Amino acid sequence: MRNHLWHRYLRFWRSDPAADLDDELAFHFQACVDDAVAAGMTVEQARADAARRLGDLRRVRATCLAIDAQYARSRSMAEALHGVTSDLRVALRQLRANPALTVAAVLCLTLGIGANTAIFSVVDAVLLRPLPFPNAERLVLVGEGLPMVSEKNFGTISTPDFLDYAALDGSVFASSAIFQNRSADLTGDAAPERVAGIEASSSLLRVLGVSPALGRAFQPGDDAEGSADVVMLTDALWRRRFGADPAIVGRTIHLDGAPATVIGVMPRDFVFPLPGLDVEPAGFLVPLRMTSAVLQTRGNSYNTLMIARLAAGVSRERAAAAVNTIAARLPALHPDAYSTHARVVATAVPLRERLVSDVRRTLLILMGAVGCVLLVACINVSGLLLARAAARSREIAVRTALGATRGRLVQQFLAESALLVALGTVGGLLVAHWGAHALATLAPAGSLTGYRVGLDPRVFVLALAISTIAAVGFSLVPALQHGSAELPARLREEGRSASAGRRRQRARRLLVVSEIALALMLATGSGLLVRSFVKALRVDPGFTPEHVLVFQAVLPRVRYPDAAGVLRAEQSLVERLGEIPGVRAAGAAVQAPMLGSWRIAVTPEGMQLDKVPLVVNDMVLPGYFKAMGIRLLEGRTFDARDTSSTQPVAIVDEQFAQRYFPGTSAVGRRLKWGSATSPAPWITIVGVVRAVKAKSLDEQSTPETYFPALGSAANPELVDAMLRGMTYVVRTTGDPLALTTSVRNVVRTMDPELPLTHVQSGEMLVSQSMTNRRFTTLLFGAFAVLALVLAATGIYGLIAYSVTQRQREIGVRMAIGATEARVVRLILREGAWTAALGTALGVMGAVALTRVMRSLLFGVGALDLVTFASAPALLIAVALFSSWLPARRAARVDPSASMR
Amino acid sequence: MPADQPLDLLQGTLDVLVLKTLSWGPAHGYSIARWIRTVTNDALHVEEGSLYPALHRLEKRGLLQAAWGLSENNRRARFYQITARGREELRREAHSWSAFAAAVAKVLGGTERPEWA
Repeated sequence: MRNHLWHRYLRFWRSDPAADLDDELAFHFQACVDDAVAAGMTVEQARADAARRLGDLRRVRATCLAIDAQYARSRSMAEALHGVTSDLRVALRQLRANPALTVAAVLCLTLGIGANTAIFSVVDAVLLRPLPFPNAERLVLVGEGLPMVSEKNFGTISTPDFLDYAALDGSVFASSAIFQNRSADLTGDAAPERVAGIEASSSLLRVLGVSPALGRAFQPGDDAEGSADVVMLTDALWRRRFGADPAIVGRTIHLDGAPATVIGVMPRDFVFPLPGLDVEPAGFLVPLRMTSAVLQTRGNSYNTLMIARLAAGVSRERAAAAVNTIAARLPALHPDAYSTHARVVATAVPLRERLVSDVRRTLLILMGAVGCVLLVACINVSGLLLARAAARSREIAVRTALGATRGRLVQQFLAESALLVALGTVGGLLVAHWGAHALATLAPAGSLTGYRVGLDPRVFVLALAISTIAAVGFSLVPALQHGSAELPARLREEGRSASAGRRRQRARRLLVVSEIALALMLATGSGLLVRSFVKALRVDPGFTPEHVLVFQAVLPRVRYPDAAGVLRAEQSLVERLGEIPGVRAAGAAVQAPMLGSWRIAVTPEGMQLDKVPLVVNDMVLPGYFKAMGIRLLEGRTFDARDTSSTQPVAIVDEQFAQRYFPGTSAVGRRLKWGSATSPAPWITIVGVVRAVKAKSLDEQSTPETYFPALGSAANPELVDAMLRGMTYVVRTTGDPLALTTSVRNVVRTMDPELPLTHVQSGEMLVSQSMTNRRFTTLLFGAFAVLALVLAATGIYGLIAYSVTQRQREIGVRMAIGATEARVVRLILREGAWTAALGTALGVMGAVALTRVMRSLLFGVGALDLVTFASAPALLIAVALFSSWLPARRAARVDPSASMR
Repeated sequence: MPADQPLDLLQGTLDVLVLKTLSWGPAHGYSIARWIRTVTNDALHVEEGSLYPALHRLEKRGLLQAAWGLSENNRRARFYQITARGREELRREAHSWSAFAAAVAKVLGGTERPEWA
């Protein structure tokens, strides 16, 4: 014990060990001298004698100091450890003594930290972590635009223009490459299967800075016309389809029936293209060849992505200016492809910016929402600890009286909250681990492919940072509540007086008010998203999705070499599908609704426009409109007579008709591809149909034109580029999916090697176009519910505590005749005031929040009245209910019992 | 009565002597030195300065505890007290000392002549 006090003494006064040692030795010396003098020596003799007996004091002193220093080090460590363990022991006892509170607090923290860490793991993977290529920040995408047609840059280029931009290699760009979607049927070895792939110039891997794990990369000769067909496989396809055959390099595989030699396999983590480029991640890579057919597409189609690596020291801006200079010269250089007054612009955008442009805002808003949830959870825990601090008021007062400093109390509280937070963090990391996986699977198809979503050290550090801040915050709140000035008051206070802890209750009320405000913000945001979702669902897609089965099939060049043969086979497949019992109509289109769209520039006859309209285009086989349930409004649909040998015809949708032929009938009017001066022939409009949503229900639809697929028989390039792959549509009377087997049989009879892909019902078609919106809405909704529940428990705790404290007062009131209803009202009033204050603040917060969310909304304003009325109403109802529960209990109390 | 020739102390011996001394009760460095001198009739030549490194080392090892107190003539002095672990150590050391001393005594006090002599 004395030793222990001595340690305190040493620590508090920071005593100097050297001075202590000198004192000790001086005492010895003096004692020697005293004794010797007492024995009769003179003082001088005594001193000399003492010095002799003590020996070399300098050495003694140095040795002792060295020992003491070592001792002090180990002692302070041991003492700190002892302090921490004893604090933790006390904390553990405290937590065990209040299991309900402990569980509630840990649960709050688990959910808060877990949800935050999970969302952050996605944010981190998509927005923060470097893309999975070396020096990915030097990668840019080059995109062209035609200001005459659209103010928006396409983000892609016309394939042959790459030859012009390649002049920048070695100056502005270190290297550049192009690639585009190229799916193929993989046949031989196993069942035929449609595999997504890309065609890329041989430089792609060099631009990306990736080399194959097996075999070699493309070489400059591989994309030369007439060179041997080669293919590279991704690790995933190699494993799945070829059983990770180590001897794959040199083997021949069949793509669309044509042999190609495998030259290499990509490393395991190679995923390309990343989501956000509108190209499915590739299973294989083949060289993109500048054939004469490809060269003819200059200025007609803009479907190729161009990626480039900036040369050292070149800024993104300089690269953008350089490509734009080249683009401006294109019409003059290629007068055969561009009309003389055409204008081409180009820009270069960092790869990441392009990838995340769609998701960044959504992710940040979700991050903000989940941050609010954590805040509510932390406030809740603070409230719980505050309430408990009240219950421990006497204990703390006693400890203070016994000499515990405020720092010491904070240390104890810190131990308790650290323990709570540690438990919450462990739980939170489990939730996050599971949640990150769930997010990756639930996220709209493919939107996270190629990103490593999971708990990496950064995510872990964030979780830890959150926890630490939370722990410190929690311990400060109750500790600061205990100013030592009010110590005597608290010692006297017995918890009986009605005014007890009023200050503390006020602090708690403030916490609950902010909880309600935050929960209301989230509820409002979530309400707006739900209303947007419902509004979007109610949008008429323009077709009848019920009883419809759609699937895709692509006729490969090997088995279907000529264009006319492709169209004949497709036409006959549609006819056979129509003969299946129970089928009411069958048809096919290049691009069914909801599956995306490609756009063309067309000129309607007789309209003075300052811009060439860019409209959605589709090419369809007879029967399509009936099968899809797209109503004909005027004129006729296509039939088997609309071929290449007859007068060219087109069908337009109502939007097109209204916009370009306002006030008159569009039927009989004409339009043509390209600008007014283009050499394309005039096409007569024969019908007007309802407008359909080309990509999703919540889009702003664009005018659309339809051309008969059979009219392209004389244009093999167009057939190869567009018409080999069709989406077939079968309308039945019953469950469309029940038809799948008969449909497969029909296709197999026609071509046993032809794989069907994307088989789905019309309803699935509609619903998959909503996955993004559904995902955001669900997630945001979940956060709002979480916040609401937390806020409800917060207000419940507040009122319940206040009821316990006012027990006596209530007893007195009831004894002098207050009715049960009166008491309930009394208590409810407290809850109502808290709720009202929180709601008022929350509405203000919601106005700010929903302003940021505007781009996520559909069909509702950011200040939608319905939402802004119902969310506060809901909050107040929840708050009143949460206060009513303890209020009712208070009123049931026997007055005589509560007053005793 | 001082011995004719003071003996030099074997390494570690001082520790045992200190522990033994303190086993009678807490004491400051000077009284420990005085006690050892008295008991041994000054036969052991203890340079009193070297007592302090021994004391501090024993304290560090947890065999002693130290605290400031007042000496018999009211001076501030550092008192040492043996701990439970110190007593344990003393017992062990005392035992091995006795064994050592007995063995040495046996050789020195021997009357048997070795075979080769």
